[in-house]
Amino acid sequence: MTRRPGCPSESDRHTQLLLEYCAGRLDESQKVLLEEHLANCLHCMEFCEKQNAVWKGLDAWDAGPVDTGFDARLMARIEARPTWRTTLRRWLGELSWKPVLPAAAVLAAYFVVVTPQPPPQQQLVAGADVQEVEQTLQDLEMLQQLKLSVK
Amino acid sequence: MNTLKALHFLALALACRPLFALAQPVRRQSGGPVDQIRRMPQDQRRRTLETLPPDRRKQAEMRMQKLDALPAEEREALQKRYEAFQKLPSEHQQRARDMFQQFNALDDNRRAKVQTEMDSLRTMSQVERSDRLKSQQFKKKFNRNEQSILSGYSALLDETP
Repeated sequence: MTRRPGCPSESDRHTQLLLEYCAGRLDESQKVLLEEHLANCLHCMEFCEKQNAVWKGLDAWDAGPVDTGFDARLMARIEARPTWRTTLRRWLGELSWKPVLPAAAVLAAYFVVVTPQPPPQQQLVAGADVQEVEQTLQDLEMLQQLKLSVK
Repeated sequence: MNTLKALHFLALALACRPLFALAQPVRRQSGGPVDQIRRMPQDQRRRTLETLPPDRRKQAEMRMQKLDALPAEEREALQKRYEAFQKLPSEHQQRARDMFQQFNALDDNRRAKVQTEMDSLRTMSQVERSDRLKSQQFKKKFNRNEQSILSGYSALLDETP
C-alpha cells in the first residue's frame, strides 16, 4: 500500500479529516482538496471505502421499536428483590440432588454397620464391675436384714 | 421431584442420626444402687453375673429378685440405709460384713433367734445393750459364736452415728 507524502492518515488530526469526509461533514473546498488526494492515494482510498462500509452497515441496521415497558419492568424487579427464604428455596431447587443420594446411602449404610453404641449399662451401675454389683447386693441384704446404720 | 427430594433429606437425616446421638452427653442413671440394679434389663443382669462362679451367681440372682420384690417404701428406706452405710469408715463396713457372714452361716433356727435378739438390741440404749450382753440369761441363751456375733452387732450399733 503506497502512502503519498503529507497523507492525512499519517496523523490523528488528518485521520479525523478523513472521518469527517466519510460522514459528509466537510465543506466543499476541503472536500475538493481531499478528493484530489484520494485519487492518487491508495491508502486513504482504502480507509474511506472501509469507513463507508461501516456507515452503510449502520444505515442498514434496524434497531427495532423502543420498548416503553422496560423501565417499569426493571423497577418492578428491583422492588421484588428475593428474600432469604426465596433465595434458599431457589438454591435448593437448582441444586442437583443426584450425587447426594448415593453419598447419603453410603453414609447411612456405614452407620448402620458401625453405629456407635452407647457405653454398656453395666458400667453405669454404681460405676461398677461384677464384683461391685455383688458387693452392693450383699450390703443391701445385710442392711435390710440387720437394719444397721439406722437407729 | 418433591418426593425424590424428601427421600434425599430422609437419607441424609438417617445418615446423620448417629452423629447427633454421639453429640448427646452420656446420661448417668439417676437414683442409688438399689434403683440402678433394679433397672438393669434381664439380659444385662445375666451378662453381668455370668462371670461369677455358679453358687455366687445364684445367690446374687436371688438377692436381685428380693430387691425387685420390695415395696417402694422399703426400697426407699433401704436406699437411705445404704447411703448412710457408705459414709461409715471402711473398717467399720468390713466388720459389719464379717459379722453378717458369720450370722448367715448359722442354721435357720439359730439364725432366727439371733435375729430376734438383734431386733431387741436395736431398741435399747448403749448402756442397756451392755448390761444385756453381760447378763446370765444372754450367756445361757446363746453359744459363744452367737454371743460373738451379737457383741459385734452391738458394737456396730454403738459406733453408728
